[in-house]
Amino acid sequence: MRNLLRAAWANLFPILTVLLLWELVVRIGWINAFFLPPASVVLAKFAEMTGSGELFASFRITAWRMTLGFAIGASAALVLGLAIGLSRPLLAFFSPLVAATYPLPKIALISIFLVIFGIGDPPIVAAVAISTFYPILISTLTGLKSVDPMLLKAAEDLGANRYQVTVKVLLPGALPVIMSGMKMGAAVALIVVVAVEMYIGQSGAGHVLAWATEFFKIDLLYANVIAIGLFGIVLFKLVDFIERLLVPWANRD
Amino acid sequence: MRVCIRNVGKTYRARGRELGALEDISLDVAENEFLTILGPSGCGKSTLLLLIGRLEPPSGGTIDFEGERHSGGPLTTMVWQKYALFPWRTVLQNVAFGREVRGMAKKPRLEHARGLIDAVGLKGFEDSYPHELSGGMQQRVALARALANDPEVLLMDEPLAALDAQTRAVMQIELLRIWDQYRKTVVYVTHSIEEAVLLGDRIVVMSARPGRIREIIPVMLPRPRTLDMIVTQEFHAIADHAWTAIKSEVIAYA
Ligand SMILES: Nc1ncnc2c1ncn2[C@@H]1O[C@H](COP(=O)(O)OP(=O)(O)OP(=O)(O)O)[C@@H](O)[C@H]1O
Ligand SMILES: [Mg+2]
Repeated sequence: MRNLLRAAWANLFPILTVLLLWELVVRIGWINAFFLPPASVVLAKFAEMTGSGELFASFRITAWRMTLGFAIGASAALVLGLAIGLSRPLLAFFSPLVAATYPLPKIALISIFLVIFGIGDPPIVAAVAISTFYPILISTLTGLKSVDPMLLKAAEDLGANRYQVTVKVLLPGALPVIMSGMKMGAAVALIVVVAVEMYIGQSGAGHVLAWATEFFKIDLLYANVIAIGLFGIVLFKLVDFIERLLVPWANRD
Repeated sequence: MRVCIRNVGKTYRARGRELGALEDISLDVAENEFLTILGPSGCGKSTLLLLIGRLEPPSGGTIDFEGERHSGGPLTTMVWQKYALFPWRTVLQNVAFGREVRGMAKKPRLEHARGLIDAVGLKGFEDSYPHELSGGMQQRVALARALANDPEVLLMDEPLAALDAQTRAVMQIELLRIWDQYRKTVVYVTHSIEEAVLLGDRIVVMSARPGRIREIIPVMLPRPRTLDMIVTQEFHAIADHAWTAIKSEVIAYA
């Protein structure tokens, strides 16, 4: 309990210091309060938005789009990645396609999605899906290739048939690398959902950002940026937790 | 069971080039014999084990297993130099792997695995992951996993090479104790002359690549073997003999 409090304080202390400095430099007048409202004002706005349910409403929409997009992109990447990674002919067919399309910044496709899907959730979800697809596909392929061939030999030697070698050795062996791809996918999903909402969204956290900018609601802007930051922290903690659950053997510090 | 190796050769084909790894190997490994193999690096010792383990096909010759089967397990199981443990499996799950893939029920196979973990001195580490263990402990797990498979012939490819000298000495004695208990036919590859003498009933000395059998040296030391024997005259005489045989090959290779 004492340790827990100390750990909490160790995290809190730097944050409180920065908030205090922020408050000070604005109050003294070193920074124009129009560009950077005092910390207290931003936090008050944040508290107000939390209390009114406004924040929850916009983030629920954003989280839904992100989760749906991620789920679609990740499952497609896993299915295709495993199929390609386990079959030479498929690998030969898809390798050039992946290599050719991988470097394209997927955000560039947003206008095409807009044309195809029209306004609303679908183009946003599609943008998230396509952006998470690639890191997870690549990591699945890399993960399968990274499995020590000696482990495959050892399993075969112990009596495993080809199916068992695949399921009991190849897949778990690839899992740590696949999980790091998932983490990257989650990070990209957050960036893309906010960016696309700013651009074409009519609701969601990104849209609030764009709206606040347009109408110079500076306190709303900052409160929302902080909220997105907190959302990101929660998201990454969640992904870490899932990784620990799925890959308990991985060497960690 | 006995292993009868007749005129076996192995040629690897890599990037259009042919590489003779083994040539005309004929050798019988007797029932319950502890056979050690010595030879310069690259002479095909690991290759020979892979052939006996049917993990690689020979390019020529035959390898047969003769005699009565004692165990319900496979003909051979390998213990690898780098342990080759499954990092995502606990010690218990690693040791039970062989029986798991051969479709044995969960409860008896875990019970059996526990017994072997106990036998190699790892009681209490059943639920540890390999990366949480020292090198010596990992090699014990690898040994228990191979023994749990209950093979007729145990193939060991420099199983102690990655260990420090002290751990190695401890493991040599452990190995002898465990072998005494389970009495398997063992083919054991090593780089260490001392180890080959200490463990083996006979030492096969191989020539530089392509590997051939240069000499087979019987080790007439009483069992059970102890580390104290290393300083005896008899031990020295055999080790010297082996060293003379292998010296010219090592020099030929270098
Ligand atoms: N899969 C392979 N493809 C091509 N060449 C191989 C292959 N495996 C081994 N070789 C070659 O065959 C020869 C014998 O290899 P092997 O690993 O059996 O030697 P070794 O006696 O075990 O050596 P060391 O003592 O260094 O372990 C070597 O020259 C090696 O380069
Ligand atoms: Mg070798």
